[in-house]
Amino acid sequence: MSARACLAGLLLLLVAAGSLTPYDPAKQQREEANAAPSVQHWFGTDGYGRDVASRFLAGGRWSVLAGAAAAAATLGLGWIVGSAAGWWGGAADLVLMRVAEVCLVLPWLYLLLAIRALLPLETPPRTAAAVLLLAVAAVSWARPARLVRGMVLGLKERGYVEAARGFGVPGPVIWWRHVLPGTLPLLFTQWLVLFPRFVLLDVTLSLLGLGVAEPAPSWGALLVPLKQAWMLPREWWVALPALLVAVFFAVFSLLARKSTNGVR
Amino acid sequence: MLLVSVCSLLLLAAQPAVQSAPQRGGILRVALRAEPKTLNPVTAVDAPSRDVLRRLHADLISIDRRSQQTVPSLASSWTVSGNRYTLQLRPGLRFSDGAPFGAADVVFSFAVYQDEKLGAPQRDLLTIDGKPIVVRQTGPLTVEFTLPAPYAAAERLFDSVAMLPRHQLETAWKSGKLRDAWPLTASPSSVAGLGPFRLKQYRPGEAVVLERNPYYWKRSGGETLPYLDGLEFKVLPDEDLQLARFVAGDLDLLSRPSAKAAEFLRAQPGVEFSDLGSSLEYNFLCLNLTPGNPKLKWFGQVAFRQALSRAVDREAMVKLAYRGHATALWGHVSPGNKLWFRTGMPQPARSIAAAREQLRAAGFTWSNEGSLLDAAGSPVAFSILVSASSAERQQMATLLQDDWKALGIAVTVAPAEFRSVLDRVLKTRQFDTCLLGLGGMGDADPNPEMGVWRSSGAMHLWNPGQQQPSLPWEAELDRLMSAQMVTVNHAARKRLYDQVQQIVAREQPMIFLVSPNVLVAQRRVGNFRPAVLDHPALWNVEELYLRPDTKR
Repeated sequence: MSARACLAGLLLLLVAAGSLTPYDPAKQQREEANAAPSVQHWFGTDGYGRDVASRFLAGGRWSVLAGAAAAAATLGLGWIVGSAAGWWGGAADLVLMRVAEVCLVLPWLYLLLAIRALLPLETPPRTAAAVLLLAVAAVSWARPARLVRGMVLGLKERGYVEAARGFGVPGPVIWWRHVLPGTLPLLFTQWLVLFPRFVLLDVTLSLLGLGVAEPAPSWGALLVPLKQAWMLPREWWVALPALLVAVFFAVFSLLARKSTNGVR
Repeated sequence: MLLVSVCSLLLLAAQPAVQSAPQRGGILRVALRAEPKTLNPVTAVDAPSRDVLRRLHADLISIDRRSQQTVPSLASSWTVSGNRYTLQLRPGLRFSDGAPFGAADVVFSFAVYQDEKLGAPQRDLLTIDGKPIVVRQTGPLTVEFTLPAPYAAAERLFDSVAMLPRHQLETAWKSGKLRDAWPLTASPSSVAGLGPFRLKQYRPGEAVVLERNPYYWKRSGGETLPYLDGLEFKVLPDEDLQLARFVAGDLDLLSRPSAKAAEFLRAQPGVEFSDLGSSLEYNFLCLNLTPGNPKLKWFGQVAFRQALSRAVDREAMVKLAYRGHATALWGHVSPGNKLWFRTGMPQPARSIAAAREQLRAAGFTWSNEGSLLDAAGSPVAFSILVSASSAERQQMATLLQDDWKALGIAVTVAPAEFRSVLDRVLKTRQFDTCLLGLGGMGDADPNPEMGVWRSSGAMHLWNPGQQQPSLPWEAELDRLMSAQMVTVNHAARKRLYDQVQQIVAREQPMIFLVSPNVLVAQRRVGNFRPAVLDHPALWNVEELYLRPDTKR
């Protein structure tokens, strides 16, 4: 309970803090560019004179929300496909699982580059990033689908399912009322695995310049100066966002592990 | 005694560095950003291959990288009579394998470069008005070049056109296998050139090693050149890696490090860092003026383009994107181009108020929320296409976005993979505006940029490949560019090209932003005289030497 509460608290904090930023994250103060941390700017300013702390918080809110949404979309799709394949079996199972295998081998990075190239240029930065994340979600359902399918295959042999059949309950009702609820703990643990992956994907895309475009803040864009590691001795504060992103993943991972112990 | 010794050492250390007499020997180690693709000058198009090849081969007439004027190279002199150029070769020249060099090799080389089947990158330069230059041997050391049409500064065409050894390549050419000749794995003895070095060793993925050409013709004060025993090109694809290796002493010089590395390099002990000032490269925002573009209703108005330019904070670009190592531009010829830069070009100071006034006079208005509206009441919004791999250009695009927000324009920055950018600009024309750079490190002469400024050119980026110039000022640009191409007198040419610069700066089909400075860093390389033109650090490699304490 406490681990789950802490986990929820961490995410809520990040989402809420994103709307309580001390400065407008997009406001350029060019005369204050590349400034060291100070009382006014806790993490210093970036190459345009924007407050890095404000951009970290605002970027974090986006990353958390986008990661959560993409993980939920992936799981939703995987849940439906996996349970349907497991419950009905036969030709449906065969076709759905072959499609899943195709999705597993798709080179997603090239897929993303192709989608990014095809998007209209005036697509707002966050819409473009959301489209990319959803595109990954649309091809990432295969792994959770296979897990759900396996679980459904086991659940449909259980006694209470057999009993429901014996009482003449229609198949879809059994599937909906007796089988799907049994897969929910799996979905929770899968969400805890997928969520940080999608956050990391968002960070990676922004780091490569293909995610959330300027002037919208993003964690990945804050890590770009670190590509020039030799700048660190002179401008050490550019590493602060990276340290905080690392702390976020470490804390999330710890809490996620604790909260899934009960599920196992 | 000890005190005296220490004091002497301190005094010695305090003395300024004195240019010592050139020392012979040593291997100069430099970095390449990628592995060269080939050692064949006929097929080489990538910069790393060209960097290596220019040390292996020589041309008939060179462009001095410092003065930007032509100087004799393998040809000791030349005469011009109408469209006919007669070149006199130096006597006694030998390839790096000892074979003699003569007029027959020159005729062979040009025949190879002009061979349509080979598709050499030099072929375009050696074709004037669609017709090839006719090359004829008139003596053992005399070659005559007849141009199909008048062409100003034609002697500049010979720069970087490597002379090839007929005795090594003729068989391959006749059998149609020249494209496959001289791969990186070729035996060093099979690759002969007239440059200061010859191939010694290729270590795949690691380095290309050259050694002194014992038959090299150039001398300095009676001493044979080059001074160096060899040159080692190390393949280091990442700038961070190059910097680390340079600081560790594994590289002797760095050519064109990024502006962000400047302060880091300056702070390194024993490193001589130079900012040579503006390069020939010009970064600009190209507006898509292709007929049918829905944004043409705004971009087509010169007042709109001028207002955009007026609102640009170029100084911020210099300071923030290039950390001060760039030069603000209001025209396409940078101050680094000594021969063609037009002094006295108007450089209007940034003024949002003046830009807004210009827009108001052109019929634009503003909504209550501050958005710019055109005469039909539509909000003005467009995108800037920019390469995701260029941090500086992305930063400039973000600065433009903020500058034009002050005019009420909603600008979207659209980063894309570089090939996708080129595809949209050169093929599909699906873009509003695009942030690009041209000029690079090529020749300072206007002629190689004919395709940019003539309306029929493929690189006439705002509206390429026009059958007829669609606008009167484009027709004038066509006329001036064609006229300067055939005007031999430099002063007259300059007047024509000044007019070109004036028209382009007035009409602003491209909004010129900044020219990045050429930066170089070295540790203890003698005779180091970096230049703006390519290759900034190695153009005089035959004269470079290592100071004694760095010899290896």
